[in-house]
Amino acid sequence: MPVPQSVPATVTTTAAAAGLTLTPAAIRSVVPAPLPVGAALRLPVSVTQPVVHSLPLLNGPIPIISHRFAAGPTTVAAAAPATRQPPAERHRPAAEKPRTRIQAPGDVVKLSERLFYLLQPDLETLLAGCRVGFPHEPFPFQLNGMAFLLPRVGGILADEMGLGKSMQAISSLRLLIRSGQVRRVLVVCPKGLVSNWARELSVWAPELVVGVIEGDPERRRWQWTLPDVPVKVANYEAVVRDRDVVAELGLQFDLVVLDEAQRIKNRSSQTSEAVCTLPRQRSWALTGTPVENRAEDLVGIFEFVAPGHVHERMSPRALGAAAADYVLRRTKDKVLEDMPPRLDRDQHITLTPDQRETYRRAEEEGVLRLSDMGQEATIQHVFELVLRLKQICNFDTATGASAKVDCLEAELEEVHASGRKALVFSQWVETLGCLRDRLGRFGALEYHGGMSTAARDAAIETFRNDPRHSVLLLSYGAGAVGLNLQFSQYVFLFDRWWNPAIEDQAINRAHRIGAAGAVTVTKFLSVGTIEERIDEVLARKRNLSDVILSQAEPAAGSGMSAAEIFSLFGLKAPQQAGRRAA
Amino acid sequence: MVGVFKSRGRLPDGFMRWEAIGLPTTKRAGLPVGHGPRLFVLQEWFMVASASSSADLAFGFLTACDASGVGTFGGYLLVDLSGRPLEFHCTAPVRVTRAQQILYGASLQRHLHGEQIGGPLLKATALTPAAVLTDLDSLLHARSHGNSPVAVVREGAMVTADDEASGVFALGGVRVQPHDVDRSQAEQLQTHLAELAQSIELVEPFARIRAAIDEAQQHS
Repeated sequence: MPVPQSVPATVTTTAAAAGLTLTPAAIRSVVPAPLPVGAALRLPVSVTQPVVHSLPLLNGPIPIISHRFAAGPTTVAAAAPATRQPPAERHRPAAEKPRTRIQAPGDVVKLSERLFYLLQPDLETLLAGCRVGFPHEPFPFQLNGMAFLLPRVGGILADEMGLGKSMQAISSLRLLIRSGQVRRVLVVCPKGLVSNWARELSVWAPELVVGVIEGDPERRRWQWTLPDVPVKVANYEAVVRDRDVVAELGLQFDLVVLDEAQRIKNRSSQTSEAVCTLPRQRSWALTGTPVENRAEDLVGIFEFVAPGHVHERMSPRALGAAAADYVLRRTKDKVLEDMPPRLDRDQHITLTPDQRETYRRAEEEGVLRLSDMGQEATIQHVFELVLRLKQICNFDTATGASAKVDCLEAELEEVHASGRKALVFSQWVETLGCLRDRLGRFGALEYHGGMSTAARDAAIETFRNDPRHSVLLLSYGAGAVGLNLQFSQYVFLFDRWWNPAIEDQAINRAHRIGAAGAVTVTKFLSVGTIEERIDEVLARKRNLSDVILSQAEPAAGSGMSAAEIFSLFGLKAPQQAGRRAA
Repeated sequence: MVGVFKSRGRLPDGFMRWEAIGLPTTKRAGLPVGHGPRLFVLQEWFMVASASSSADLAFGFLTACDASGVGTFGGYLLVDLSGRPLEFHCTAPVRVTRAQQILYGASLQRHLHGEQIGGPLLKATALTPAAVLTDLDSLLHARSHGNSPVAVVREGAMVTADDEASGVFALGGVRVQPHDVDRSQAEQLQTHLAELAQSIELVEPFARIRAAIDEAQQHS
């Protein structure tokens, strides 16, 4: 549209010259009488010199900054009107629109790259444009989790157990694959969760071809080389065993996802070394417990996600600040207002007389022996005593008496009668075996590492579908991670694990998204025993993770050190006792 | 994929279905039997075979915003049919003096936006958009600097009979008013924008532009 004529092309102004004042009085003094008709007044302009001011107009060239973005091999559908919402239905008032923006990570400093993220449509629009459907509508915090992962080369999704870390990772990698940014994905998880991951992938990314790396070495070698399988799933052990094969084949991954990434908290372990040497572009770690015992746990995970970014000499506050842009941590109480309540209760158990006597003898003998050993005593000796005492708290080794089982049976009567389901956790497979015998009338099933994967899967299916089976007996090692058992309303911790994070993982098998109602968690504590003393330490340890993830100052004595373990029996730790309980 | 998968069945335009062959699968849930890797969900998965011509459409979003004490910025975002960014251009800030405000009077906004900012931005692009949308009437005056139809969009779907006579239409809760010279193309414009409106809301990209200008300003 041409510029209207009213816009001036140029403008000049004149000002009266100094000394020339053309006031009416001045004019009258120069012109003594009216001029004759037709005559003209000639001003003495020769003595004036007007000053000209030029004002610049808005017509200069304006610098323009341009950014062009590679379109990429997008898989967005060109035309499929039947599956898209009609425009009228897409429109909602601004106040009602949920908008999840993808923010540039903090380590992206180049303006064009930051703009690339800023200028992307919000996640809801991306999902609609890609026509990515979900079996269930994601929660807003899950979309935020996807928006966190999508732009990140390295990231730790550290949501509390049960918030859907797998779903968020799968949906994110699905979007990256569909947009052509990622073609080769490797998911590494504990062996017991491989089938779970395959199932989750089939639910949340049904169009993706998934290959599981398993079997004998020759077969695995062939599976590693399979082209056209965008997502491969391998367990940690397979990655360690096939480390040389991966290097020899020159495999490259666009994205490696570590599930239960606390597995690599020990940087000197073979698992950590094997995982960290996987050739990859992007590194995502999933863990509900980024800090299990010590701040160094998080450093170990960072060795995979962003090597060298943090180090163990950092204070918890500094570590938290350095990790902040890499870690996304949400807890159920913060993001799930409508999450069913979790009711925690401690069931204090009084040992049977037989148990009490056996316990007293074992403790006295054990403490006496440790005292006699003096500086020779190691933490391993203390562990042995602790384990022996805990086993007695479960069952009297001589008579088989168990106050805990008596109590548990009474509790399960009600659970069974009401047609509900209960999970019972113990750290010993032998204990689970004893419980199975005692709880046969409740249809107790077992799930532990001594069973084959197929047998474990079958146990889960039976427990899920058969109302005659009200109880599932699980070991902390095999049953605390990855399982979705939200149809269970009761969780019993028959004995206590060393680490509160592991206990939380176990509890969250039932208390997670999809739980139909309140979940009641019962922790058995034998009065006046080692279990009570461990419980006190566990309560303190729960603080450490919060300290780092919230960048707060640490509470005193948040870890379970060798000194604390020795102090369970009133002993002073020898100087060489440096280990911690896992 | 070629040699391993074959196409089968009819799917919406732009899609082909591929079925796994040569690898044994059970009938239930696509789980494998016998040798070979455990492959899940082999039986149907989708990939885009080729993009149709409509997928190549680009749309421009043009706006200007004032930053206090800095000046007026112009921003121009080109997106594809799914709303993804293709190009982004923004101007350095233009400062208007008090004298210029007085001299230009009522013509300031349309000259500043339409000529000084909008014109160069429209010329800066490598792509030719199917339409340029703006949220400022004053930027309609940039129309003469480009070949693409320009329309101003606003939230609210109120369109009167008089509006319709002048080419105004409602789309996805947004009122679209083409430039006078584009009235004759209003129908085609509506068709193109209807496709875009299936992916994004037509006023949403302006927020992206403003966020990007803020970022660029902080970065400078």
